[in-house]
Amino acid sequence: MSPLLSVRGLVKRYGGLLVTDQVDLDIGPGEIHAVIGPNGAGKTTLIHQVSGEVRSDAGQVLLDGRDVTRHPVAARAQAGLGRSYQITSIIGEFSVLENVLLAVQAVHGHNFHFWRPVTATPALVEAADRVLALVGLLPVRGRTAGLLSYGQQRQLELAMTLATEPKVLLLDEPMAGLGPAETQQMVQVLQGLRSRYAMLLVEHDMHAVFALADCLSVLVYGKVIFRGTPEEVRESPAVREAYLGDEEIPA
Amino acid sequence: MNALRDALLPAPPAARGIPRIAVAAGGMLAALLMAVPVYAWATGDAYVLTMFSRILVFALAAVGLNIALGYGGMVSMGHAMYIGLGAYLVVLLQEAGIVSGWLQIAAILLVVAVVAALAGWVALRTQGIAFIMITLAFAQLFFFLFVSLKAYGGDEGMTLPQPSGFGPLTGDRTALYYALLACLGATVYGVSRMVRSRFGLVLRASRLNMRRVNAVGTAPLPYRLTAYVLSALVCALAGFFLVNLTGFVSPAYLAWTVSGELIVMVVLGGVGTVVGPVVGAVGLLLLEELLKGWTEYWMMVLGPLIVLMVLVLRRGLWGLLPAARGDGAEARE
Repeated sequence: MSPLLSVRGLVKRYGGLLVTDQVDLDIGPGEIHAVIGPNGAGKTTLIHQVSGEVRSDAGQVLLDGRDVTRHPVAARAQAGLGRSYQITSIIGEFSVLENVLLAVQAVHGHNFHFWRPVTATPALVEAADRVLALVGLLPVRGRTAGLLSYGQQRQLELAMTLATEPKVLLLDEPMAGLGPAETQQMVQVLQGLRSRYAMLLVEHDMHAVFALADCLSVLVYGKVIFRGTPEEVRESPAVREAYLGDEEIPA
Repeated sequence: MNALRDALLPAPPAARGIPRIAVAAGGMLAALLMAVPVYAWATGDAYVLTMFSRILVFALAAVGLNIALGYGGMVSMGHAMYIGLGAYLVVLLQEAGIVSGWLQIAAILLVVAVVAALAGWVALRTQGIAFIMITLAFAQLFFFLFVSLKAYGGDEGMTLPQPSGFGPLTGDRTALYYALLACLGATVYGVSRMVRSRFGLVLRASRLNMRRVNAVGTAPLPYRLTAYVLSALVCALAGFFLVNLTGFVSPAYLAWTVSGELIVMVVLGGVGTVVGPVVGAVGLLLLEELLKGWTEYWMMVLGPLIVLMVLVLRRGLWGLLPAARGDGAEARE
């Protein structure tokens, strides 16, 4: 099967510092590929490069065989790369529904409609409600997003990503700051989505990573030092030495 | 399915409609403004009509600026240039033999749309202070252009040869006032629709979180530029009315202080509220009038008063309404 997302020889330098060093990745349909690594390994930078927020110095990003390396952020999102943020990036002043509508309408043609209230556009509202139901936020759709609990805001963050009908999800620490119960809930939501999307997952919560990932890449100083299934990673002495000294791995 | 959902789920703020007290306050404001010519006619006080016409001109311009400033977060320090362009174009068109008011309006909207699209396209490459400086620079450019046009009176300006032609209503002060009021009402209603539309959602979102707008796959620039042009068109229309009201045009219409005053009106009335700029314009100009009658050092009183009001009324005069406060999403309607 040909990969949905393909990253070839991606490089990013900040001055003399090599943040991303010749990274290759292939993610097939329905596959969850996790990138783990110690702090400062360049995981978020990698997501930024794939989503287009950071320009790469070298390398290619192919989405479904199409080269999107030169595309700006919005065009990549249109092409099917949906990303979520490590630091919650919802619009606090909007209602929950409006947040999701913003994402839904982005994939429903242009937005040069000046007259009809967006909340009175059935096609858009129904699509938004479907996504809200998926992440369990339907009962609070009328609330102001900024007043939601942190866990709900993380779910809204994911909902906005899903609402753009992406082919590939780029998830930058979806569990960041969540408690154990909320993490468990998020893992379940992602489990439920796994057949529908390919996912590139950056996550610190090792229980979550090992529960979800089909394949793991271990990133150290911008370089992939090991790649394999969760079992292989767990048993690799090289990974243990380079990275796992300071964080424990679930047995 | 829809009926069931509507019954079970709380309506989002945007669907709740405008708070009743805001409707009442807006209605009262509209009624008062509608009664002005009647009062002027009954008392024979023509000055009141002129004064309120001037207030409406600036209210219209402030509503226009608010599209860019309040909803798009584009702090333009040069919107007076569009008032000035609108005004000068009337004179230019009359010299060219076009006296029909409708034709003049059409031509003004066309020319200003092109100018604003070019200026906005350049200015929107930047943000924050740089955006303020570029919009100011464009306004100064046109200011000095008109100062240098000796054929049109240079820095002293010139009188309008004749009012814009509207058949039997040509030059009628009361008709001008009601036309202004109708224009203002239509613009306010149009903005209130626009804000909740798909376009408005993108515009408001790009002010609050541009990065997210990009991330969901919407490039904000075309929408921001459109909002900037729309806001310029409303100001140009205000300029058309201004020159017909005063029968005179001068570079002073384009002065950067006028742009500043427009910002004060918007902020004073309530940034990003539909009716706020109208309240701000009425409030500021009435206050100015009041203080002028009281002391010749009125500016020394007005200045600190504005500072005080902006400090105390964070959400502007319109934000004083209890129902208009609430949470962010509601207050922004």
